[in-house]
Amino acid sequence: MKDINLLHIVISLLGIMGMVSLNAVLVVWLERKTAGRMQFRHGPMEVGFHGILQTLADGIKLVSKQLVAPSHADTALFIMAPVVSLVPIFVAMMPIPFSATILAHETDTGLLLVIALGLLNTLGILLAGWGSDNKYGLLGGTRAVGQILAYKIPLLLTVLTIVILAGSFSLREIAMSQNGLWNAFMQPVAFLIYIVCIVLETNRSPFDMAEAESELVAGFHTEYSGMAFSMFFLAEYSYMFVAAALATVMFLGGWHGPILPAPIWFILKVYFLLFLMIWFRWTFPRVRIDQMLMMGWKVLLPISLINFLITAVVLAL
Amino acid sequence: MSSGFKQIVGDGLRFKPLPVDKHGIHLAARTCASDARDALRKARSEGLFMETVTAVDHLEDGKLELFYLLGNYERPERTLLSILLDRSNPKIPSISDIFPGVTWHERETGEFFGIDFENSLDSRRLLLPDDLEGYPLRKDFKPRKLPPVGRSKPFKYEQASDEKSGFVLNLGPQHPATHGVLRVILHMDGEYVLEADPILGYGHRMQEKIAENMTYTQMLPYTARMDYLSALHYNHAWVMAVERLCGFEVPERAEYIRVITSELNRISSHLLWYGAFLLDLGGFTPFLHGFADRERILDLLEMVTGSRLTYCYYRFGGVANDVDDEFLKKTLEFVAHLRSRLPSYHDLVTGNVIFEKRTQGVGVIDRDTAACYGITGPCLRGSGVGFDIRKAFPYSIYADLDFDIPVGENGDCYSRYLVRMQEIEESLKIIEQAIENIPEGKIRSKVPKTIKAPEGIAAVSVESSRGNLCVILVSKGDKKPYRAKFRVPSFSNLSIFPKLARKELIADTLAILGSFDLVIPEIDR
Amino acid sequence: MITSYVHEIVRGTGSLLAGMKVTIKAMLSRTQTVQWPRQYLTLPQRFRGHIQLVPVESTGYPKCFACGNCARTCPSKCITVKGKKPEGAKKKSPTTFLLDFTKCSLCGLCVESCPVSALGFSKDYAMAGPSRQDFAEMDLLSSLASPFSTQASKEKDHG
Repeated sequence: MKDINLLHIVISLLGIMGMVSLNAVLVVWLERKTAGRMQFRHGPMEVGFHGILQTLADGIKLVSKQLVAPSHADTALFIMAPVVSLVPIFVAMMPIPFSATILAHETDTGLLLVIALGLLNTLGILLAGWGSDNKYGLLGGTRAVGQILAYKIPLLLTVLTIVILAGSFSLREIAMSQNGLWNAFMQPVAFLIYIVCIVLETNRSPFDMAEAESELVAGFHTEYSGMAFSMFFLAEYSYMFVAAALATVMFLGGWHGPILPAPIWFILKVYFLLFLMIWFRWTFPRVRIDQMLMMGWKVLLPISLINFLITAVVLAL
Repeated sequence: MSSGFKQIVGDGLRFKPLPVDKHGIHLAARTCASDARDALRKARSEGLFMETVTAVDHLEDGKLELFYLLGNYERPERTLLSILLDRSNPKIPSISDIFPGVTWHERETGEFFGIDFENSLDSRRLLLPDDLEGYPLRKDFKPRKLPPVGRSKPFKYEQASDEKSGFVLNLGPQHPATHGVLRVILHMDGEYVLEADPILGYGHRMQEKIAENMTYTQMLPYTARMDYLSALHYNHAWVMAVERLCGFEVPERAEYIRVITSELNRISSHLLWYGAFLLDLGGFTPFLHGFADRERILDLLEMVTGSRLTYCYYRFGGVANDVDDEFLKKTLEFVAHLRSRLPSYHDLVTGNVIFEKRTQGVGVIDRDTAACYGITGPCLRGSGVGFDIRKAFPYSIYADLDFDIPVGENGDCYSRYLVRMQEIEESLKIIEQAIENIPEGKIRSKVPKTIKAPEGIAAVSVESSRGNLCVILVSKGDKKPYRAKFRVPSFSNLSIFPKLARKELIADTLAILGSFDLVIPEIDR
Repeated sequence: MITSYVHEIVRGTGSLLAGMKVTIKAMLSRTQTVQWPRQYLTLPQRFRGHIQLVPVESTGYPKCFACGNCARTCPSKCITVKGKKPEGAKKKSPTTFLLDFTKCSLCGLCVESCPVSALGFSKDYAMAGPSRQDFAEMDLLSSLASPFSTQASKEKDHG
């Protein structure tokens, strides 16, 4: 019995790795195409059909480049940081249900697991900022840490709202519970707050203060090149996928939908959310760090708290 | 004339009024080094702003002539204070405590001419490398052998000193937000900037010395390279300075063409700034939206001038080529097109809550500080002072045109932004009027092939996209200018940056830097 | 106070949506870039590329008579002209006409200074070379027929 479990985990991990890479290729392409079109450009056009293989070509170039570390860098941390950023993704992908049956590993506390692993991304950013002995990097790293609480608490409150609605921490059961009406319609406020929080969590514009290339050159990954840089890149797009998948499960009814098969629906919803995040990035200027904290504590937190209380009271009645 | 000068700098000072001609200086007087401080203190209390400080080397007389050029935001009036210094030991008390913004001008004049500004707040070199011997703008300067390529300005690391706690952040010379090779040394406390110290001169080419070695015509293409984003304004200032000095006439059609093209140039510069400013604030898309429309202007200007960026189009007594009806038709089409696009600019940026929060109340300049530092252009008009060369000293045909000078209310980055956006609309209005009224006729009057400007001095200002661009031309009747000083707007505008950046978040300092619309080669010259 | 708080949030969100409308509209509109080098834009008549010598139509020889006006006018001193009279001709013809394109600022003052309009602008903007030297001495005579070539070959025959 144990052997089968191990085999199961190995296979699903391999599947997830493939999934992560494929997703990165697609989302980066989508991002660059969208950005191009929003700016009256074509975006990548040369490699493959309408440039669809451009990311692959870039990836190959990055992998073949030399990894340069600054002379005073803390080499162990410097090399560890991208790994710490990327690896938790593989675990975080496991409890995500693509349909009622397709999921790598079901746990009763899948939601908590994914959210907890999401925090490790910030650790990776901090390690990168600290380890690379670069002031821009360090500023980026500290910014990422400084904003955690401001968005994690509202995020958890909205998640709790959904949990008390569904009565379970299991992602599969949360998705199952929305067979009729999606939570996005029952909990629009929670949905909006959650969208803001995942943009924050994935360090995406308008909340890309940790990267902030016009202020901090490239923030935490200023000193990274080649493979290590591409791992950060991969991590960013994978976290986007995980966060969007979680939002799909909690708010958009998971795999539920007419006509098309369940996994297709799931992927479509996830990519809709990813497109939304890309759309944000290519529309808004960057928020200042103190304004973001102000927004987290003064807007997101009270609203999510009130929303949570109202939901709890209504359910109790 | 002397009464006018008395009115400004007061009685009781020993000064000798200088002859004032029609070349852009309204009041001029000569005083001695010891009285200069009092005169300038009076000028400061009168609200005059310091346009520039510069000097001329009179080698044969053994004198250095130091100029203080003062402008007035309220009245069209330019005052020149001239002081003769002994060439062997030029010394004068610094006025950087009266006009804080003058420090940079003094540093520049000091290193170029070897004038010692005593008790200056800052006497480091500004543009030149520290190991340069001699004073390049003195007439007897003999350059050593050229330094090897790549060894122009040594890069020194700054260490945080004890009295300034925190750490030092080098912003530039290669940084995405410094738009060129500007380097700012920031003393930081966490995210806060304690002190900002801009280091200039990475793109310094000694244009003013080049001008002394070129004929008037040969200098023309160089002017476009100083501020490559408003090259036509530089062309304009240079040809106008020479025209005034030599008394050349410009046919009316040429004046209309100049106005149409230079307003197009202004719009293109503002559109690029719109994008670059938003890029500094982290918004990517406005940059290319601005670029897409700017591209149409470049196409239009390429049609008439043949080049897209560093135009060399105006000539003494006219312009190089005539415009045809197709250009005028297409320009009108462009005016309509840009008008239809502007609302989307405002939807994308102006109303955006993130943008408002990032720019409102950030980097506030008040009128008085502006006068101290000699701020001009949209940066000044954002502070509610309607000083625009096009209205103050109407040149070309601006006096006949109907347009407004937009001013802001708060003097913050947001006001400066709004002023520039409104200026685009005003420029469109100007272009429309000019095209409607453009007369037929010659585009170039007859000027001698070899230009020998008569002896004299001209100070001619043009409103460039960034502010008051003034060319001070001193001629001794030669084929080449004896001295050409470019008073560039970005130089004075940037000099206020250390003051504004103090105790601000790093994100805000970059918003401030972006809102100045700097072109570094213009500052470095 | 609470109303202004809510109002602020609603207004802010509205302004963000207005921005998103602009970008999505842009996304659905036509692109404005050209896929160079597969597509080209037509250059305007007055496009100022590097300078080139204009031939006399009937003979194909350069119009230039090596007066050197252009070389003197050039602010960057990047033109070298030498010339002599071909046998039996009234005017000089250039023997060397070199352009140091690494220094040229494409201002066009030389073209304007030419008394016989023997200089024009090329429309070739896509120039590339592996070394700087390729452009330091561009021989502008190479593309034209030379009044000396027959003479030179004659001399060779005699020699």
